[in-house]
Amino acid sequence: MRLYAAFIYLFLYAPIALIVLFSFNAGRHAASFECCSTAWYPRTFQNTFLIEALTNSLIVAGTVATLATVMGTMAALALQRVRGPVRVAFDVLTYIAIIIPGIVIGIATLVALVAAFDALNPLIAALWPGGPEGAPRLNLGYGSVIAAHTLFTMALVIVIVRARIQGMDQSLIEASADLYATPWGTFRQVTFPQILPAVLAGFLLSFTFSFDDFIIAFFVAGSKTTLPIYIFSSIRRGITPETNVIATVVLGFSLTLLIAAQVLMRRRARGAGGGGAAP
Amino acid sequence: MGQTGERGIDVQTQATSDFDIEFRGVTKRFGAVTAVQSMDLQVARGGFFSFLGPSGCGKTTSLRMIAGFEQPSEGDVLIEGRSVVGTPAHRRPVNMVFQHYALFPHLDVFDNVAYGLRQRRPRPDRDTIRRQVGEALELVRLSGFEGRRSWELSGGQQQRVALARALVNRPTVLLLDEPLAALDRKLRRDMQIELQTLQRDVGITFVLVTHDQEEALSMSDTICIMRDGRIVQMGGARELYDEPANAYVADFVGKSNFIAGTARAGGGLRDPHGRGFGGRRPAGGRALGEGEKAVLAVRPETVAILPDGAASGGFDVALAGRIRNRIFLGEHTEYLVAVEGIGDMLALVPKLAEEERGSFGEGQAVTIAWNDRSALVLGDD
Ligand SMILES: Nc1ncnc2c1ncn2[C@@H]1O[C@H](COP(=O)(O)OP(=O)(O)OP(=O)(O)O)[C@@H](O)[C@H]1O
Ligand SMILES: [Mg+2]
Repeated sequence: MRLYAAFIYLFLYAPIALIVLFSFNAGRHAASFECCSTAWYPRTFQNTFLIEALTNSLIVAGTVATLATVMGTMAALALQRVRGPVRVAFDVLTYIAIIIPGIVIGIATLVALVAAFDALNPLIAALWPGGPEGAPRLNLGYGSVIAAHTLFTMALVIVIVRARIQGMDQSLIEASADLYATPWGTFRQVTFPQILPAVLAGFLLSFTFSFDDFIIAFFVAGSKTTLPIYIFSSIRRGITPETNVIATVVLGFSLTLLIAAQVLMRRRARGAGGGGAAP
Repeated sequence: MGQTGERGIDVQTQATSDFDIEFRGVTKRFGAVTAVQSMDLQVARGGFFSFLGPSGCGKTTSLRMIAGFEQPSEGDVLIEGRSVVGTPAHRRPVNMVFQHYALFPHLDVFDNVAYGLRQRRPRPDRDTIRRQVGEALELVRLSGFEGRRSWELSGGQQQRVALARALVNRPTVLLLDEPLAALDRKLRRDMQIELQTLQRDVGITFVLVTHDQEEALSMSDTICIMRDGRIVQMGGARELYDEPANAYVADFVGKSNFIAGTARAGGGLRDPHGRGFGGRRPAGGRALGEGEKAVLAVRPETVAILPDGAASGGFDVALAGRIRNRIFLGEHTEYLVAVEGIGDMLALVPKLAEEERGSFGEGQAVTIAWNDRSALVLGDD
């Protein structure tokens, strides 16, 4: 039984371990390993195409995480006050957004955006004061990737923050009101500090999701290249140690964010404000 | 959000009423459930007032209507003579000590206590806040605990922080919802005394909710006994004990033996076997008509146990019985006596009486006796 488990873990993690190992390859070929050198790291980061893709990914992920966190948190707070069938309807819709496969979100967003752009572009051109030549054209790009990613990650943030709000002692809010705090004062001084770990966790998960996503971005990114898309296309030209370096860096980065998110979500309500030991 | 007073709450310079709290025909419904039913009451300034009643009788709901967490469905709630219906909690000059304290876990003791002061507009300066928080913590004997978090405190200490957090604001009324329920017996006893002393020192009106009759009796000037959302009787501890308005109060406040039967026109009670018992009506109670359902209530400490066949010793009532059980309680011994035609009766025999007349063993035949003046004839409404 233990052997069986060991095999499963070997099967799961050996390729990942190999990638990390091979990123320290001294030779030119990805397939043959010559120990050991970090020479590929600086070389990889001199690749301007790669840097551009990485920048795109960071911009998209940063925007997505921010939008999803702000909107998701607001939605979670508002949903807390809704009861009955409306609440159920919203809950169902939220979970559907999470379980819909990425490929469906990708295709659906693509179809919807293309249809919308086809309808809107002639309209804008007709109304543009400088004549149809100078009129801007709506196109796939940052905006469409951000929209598609936010759609999914916002639902994630709602679920995480809602769980935290429900776990929160409601009498704290009453205590705050009892001590003369206005509703806004209560939110600022009690509710927000209490849900902050969940909000940060939501931010980090959204960021990771957006940063790692290939499927949705592939459909809706248009001419923009995000990091996963770049890796995909560079693999088609053959795997080089460069690919392994990128994979290793992304792995390290994602793992760091995921662990941070886990730590934040595990922190109990009582520890919400951090340390502060007794004298 | 408009600010009315200096503290950002509705303050007034001149009190317009002798009562800090007044309910006028207050009813509170939650859907089909009526938690409080046309309640009228007045809480005198500077007093210690308690709501006492079994679980679900509407005590917490009444308190929450004073605090502003619930609005009455009907009627009027007044604080210092002014209606506060529709006034939100943060603008009422009252503070509450919550059952589970509700200390802010992300703030230390100092910041918890300073919370109310910091909501005032204009905000008091740092030194004022530090001084007032220091005084409040001293009042509850927690100086030196400023930097602790709530989970680094014992139950009793948390309770005192919650008290300091409320008292530092000098509210018109302090509301306490079963504040001692989470403490062990010994600590509860200490805190009862502390609360009472504190209330006298600060001179703030306290309104307490409890289902512990001993707690209510020992601490309050006025006790409001509730049942199913209604007030059954209101009065001081002695009044409720000596002059219970009905069987419910006599049963709830202290212990009583009850003999069911019907009222006699001339006073007293007739049991189903036709036996007559003497007894008086409580002060202020209406006269009962002949044949009206009633009970005779006799406090266990007014019941004497005499050896079987002994002279009745001048008691008005003497009945034969047999000891069923006895419990030694230190200063008293509690006897359960089976009495023919009545059932089990409780007698509380003080140590001194036991030394004089001897004690009784289980199964022993005895005579149980009391005087008519110790018996009350109560309606069972
Ligand atoms: N928010 C609410 N929604 C619906 N029903 C409620 C609500 N709050 C209280 N009730 C009902 O009102 C009645 C009185 O409740 P309340 O909490 O005032 O009782 P209580 O006297 O404080 O009891 P306990 O000693 O158990 O705390 C109960 O039947 C309760 O179920
Ligand atoms: Mg209650």
